[in-house]
Amino acid sequence: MAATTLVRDPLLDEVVRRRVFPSGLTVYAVRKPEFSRSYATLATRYGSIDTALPGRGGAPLPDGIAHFLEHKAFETPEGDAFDLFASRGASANAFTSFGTTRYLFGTSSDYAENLSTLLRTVFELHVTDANVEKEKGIIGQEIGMYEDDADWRIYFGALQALYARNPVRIDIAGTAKTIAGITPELLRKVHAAYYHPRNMVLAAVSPEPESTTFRVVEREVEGRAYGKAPGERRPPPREPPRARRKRVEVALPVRRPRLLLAFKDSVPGEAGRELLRREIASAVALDCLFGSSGSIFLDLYEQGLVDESFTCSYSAEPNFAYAMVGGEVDDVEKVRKVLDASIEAARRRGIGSDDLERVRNKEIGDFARAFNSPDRIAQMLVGHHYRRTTVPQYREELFKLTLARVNRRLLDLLDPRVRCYSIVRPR
Amino acid sequence: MPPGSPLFRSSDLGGGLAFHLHRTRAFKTVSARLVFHADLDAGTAARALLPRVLARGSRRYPSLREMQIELDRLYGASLSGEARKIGERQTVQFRSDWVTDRLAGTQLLRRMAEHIAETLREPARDARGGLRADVVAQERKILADESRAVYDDKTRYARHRLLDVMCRDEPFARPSIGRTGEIEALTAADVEGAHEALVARAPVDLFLVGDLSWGEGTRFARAFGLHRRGAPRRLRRTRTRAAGAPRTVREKDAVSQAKLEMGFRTPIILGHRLYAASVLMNALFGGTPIGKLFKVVREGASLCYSIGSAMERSKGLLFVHAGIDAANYGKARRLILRQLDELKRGRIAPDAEEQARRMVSGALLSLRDSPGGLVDFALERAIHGERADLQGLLRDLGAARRSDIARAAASVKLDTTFLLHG
Repeated sequence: MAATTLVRDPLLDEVVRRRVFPSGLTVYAVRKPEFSRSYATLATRYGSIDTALPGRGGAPLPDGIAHFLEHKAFETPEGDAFDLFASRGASANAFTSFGTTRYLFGTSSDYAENLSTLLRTVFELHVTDANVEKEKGIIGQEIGMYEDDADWRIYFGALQALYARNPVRIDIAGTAKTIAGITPELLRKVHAAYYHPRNMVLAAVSPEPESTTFRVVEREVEGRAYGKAPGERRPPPREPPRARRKRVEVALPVRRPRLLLAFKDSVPGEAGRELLRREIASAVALDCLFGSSGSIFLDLYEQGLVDESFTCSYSAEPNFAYAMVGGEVDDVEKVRKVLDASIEAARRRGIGSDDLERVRNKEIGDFARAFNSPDRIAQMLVGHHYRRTTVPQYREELFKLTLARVNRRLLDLLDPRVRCYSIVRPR
Repeated sequence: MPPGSPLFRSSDLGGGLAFHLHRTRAFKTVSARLVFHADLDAGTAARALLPRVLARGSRRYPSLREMQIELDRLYGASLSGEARKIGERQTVQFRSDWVTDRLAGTQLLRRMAEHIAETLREPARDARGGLRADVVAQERKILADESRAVYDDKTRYARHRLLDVMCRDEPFARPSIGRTGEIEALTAADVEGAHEALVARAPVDLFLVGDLSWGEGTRFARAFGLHRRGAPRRLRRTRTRAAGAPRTVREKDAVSQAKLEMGFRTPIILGHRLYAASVLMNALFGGTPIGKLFKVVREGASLCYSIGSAMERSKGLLFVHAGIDAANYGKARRLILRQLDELKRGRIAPDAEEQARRMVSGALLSLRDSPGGLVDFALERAIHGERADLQGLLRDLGAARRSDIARAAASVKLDTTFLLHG
């Protein structure tokens, strides 16, 4: 009988029960009797940055296959599982990111039944020559749709300009060409390799008792035969520290130009507290400059150069880390000049303790707010699991963050040598 | 919760201020929505610009920087406002939320009441005592950009054009933020006038969701001084109208995919005895992926990727949108009308009816998990003089028979078809 550990946060008044099953699957269950809706997400540590089968000498995989597999995962011999969820009044979804693929549903009724469907469907792959060929057409259309999407183009334009070799630069859906050669056999190989319970996690938030979740997992996951679990993700190929290109531009049918400034951070190398500390210090540093009360954002806004679409973000995984800042602008060159000068001045001047305290307060508020939403709680638990940290550790590290550390991050992260501009202009 | 009990406890505090509280321990935050009501008319643009100008500074915090610094300091409290259309009513809605006193370790509830009241009643002014012209100009530009952005989203644009045609001599055609030309012409004096009129005479609803007592809530509500005003302005009721002889308009634009918009009229609005049946009818028509528009027009006939229907519950309208190949216009229109006809005849598969009920009920139940969802539900009903009785609606959905759904469909009559094509 697997032991359950309790993670309790007294301030937030939240309890998370964590159990690792014999198959290797880790399950986080949170009971929220005040909510009507249950939300569960099943994730695997496999995404677009996994460019080969696991192990040394693992065969290389075509770009876009993780996303392709995600499309096929809800297929069953009786039809599409999305329809089955819908017929019960539940809503299901799935998405592929750089490091994970996630499958999720939300429902106000029949929680156990829907959870069974989720687990059974994702663990049993049903691919045929016919349904794989049909999917190539559908994904081809999806790729075409994203080519017209200014937000997508500016973002991936930035990643491809920043990185020379890191697989984070690969488009998650691949291209029509790279997916053309995918076969049912290859999909089965990938599924068997990466959809192993030891590589996966289930996070479930429900008004129902946690035992309901554990019971369904026992029934749907534990009875199956699994092959070899994949080992740790390989480190990425060595990447030159500088941005590959300083500037990329593309013309699209939009009304206003968009500007995105991206910074390539050094590869963190490992999960755990150190990664969490870096994330927090980076997010706070960016917030001090570009957040809602950020000095540079407010300067640009009060000069009429940007509007609320101007935001910042920081992403970090063991294998890559980067920051992005930008939004819609009218005068690209003017904003670029002001941004460059402002960032340099901010790096020289540093952030003051008033700024740090205010942003720390804001982050606490945002953190608390996340617990209003079962969806966000579940996704947060998945994120912490793969990062090898916990929710209370986040709060601890946020309180321990020092001004010296934030200013060091500011210098390292916003270094002009590691940045590029990605621009979309109206056609 | 006992059946038939409303989601909010409500009370009229005088001066045209109605206060509503949903007490719950489910959330880590307290959420407030302060709603000023006005008719959708020529003053709409000025009222839409107002919240943006107010957010730019109060007497105590006279710049955006100082406002934002204060809000972030208060544990990331938020305060923003926008204009929304509900039937032929413009609502100017101020939303705010902040973490509970317990989590903040300080009296945030009291502090936020002060801050919101100041922001609302004491905007930052220039040396002559007027609203700052440069701030008004900047925010006007952003609002005008927002208005122009509709033109770029061809699906939204086609809907706007449908309304221009269908409701050309009704207030409903006007967008919630006014028209681009109206926005661009606004002066600081216009916004000042809108401010005075709203604060002095507009009917107001204040909704609070969170872990606070009735006493704390009413104390919060009285911080704005709105309860001491004289009688509020009387507003027009939104009028439903019977469909005229069906009319079709085509317009050429730079689109590769044609946008088909169809506008229907129905007397069924919130409070109507067939309201619940009409919600099910819309779910079975084009409101969900199990509806006929999806199953027959998209999956069966492959005439479109995107298609759906939606009801406007205050004005008595039903809209269908579809992205189609212009060459298939006639076919698509006929097939859409045939699906409505099937519903009028009660030709609904029994499991489809049950699925629709589950989907609609599920969506309603999830509203309870969202402070914003709870308020939106209650606000619409408050405008119609109805209580926010979620349990009652769920009961009505359960009790609606197929014949009711068919009757609801029968009340829906085509008014205008609009096609935007390349």
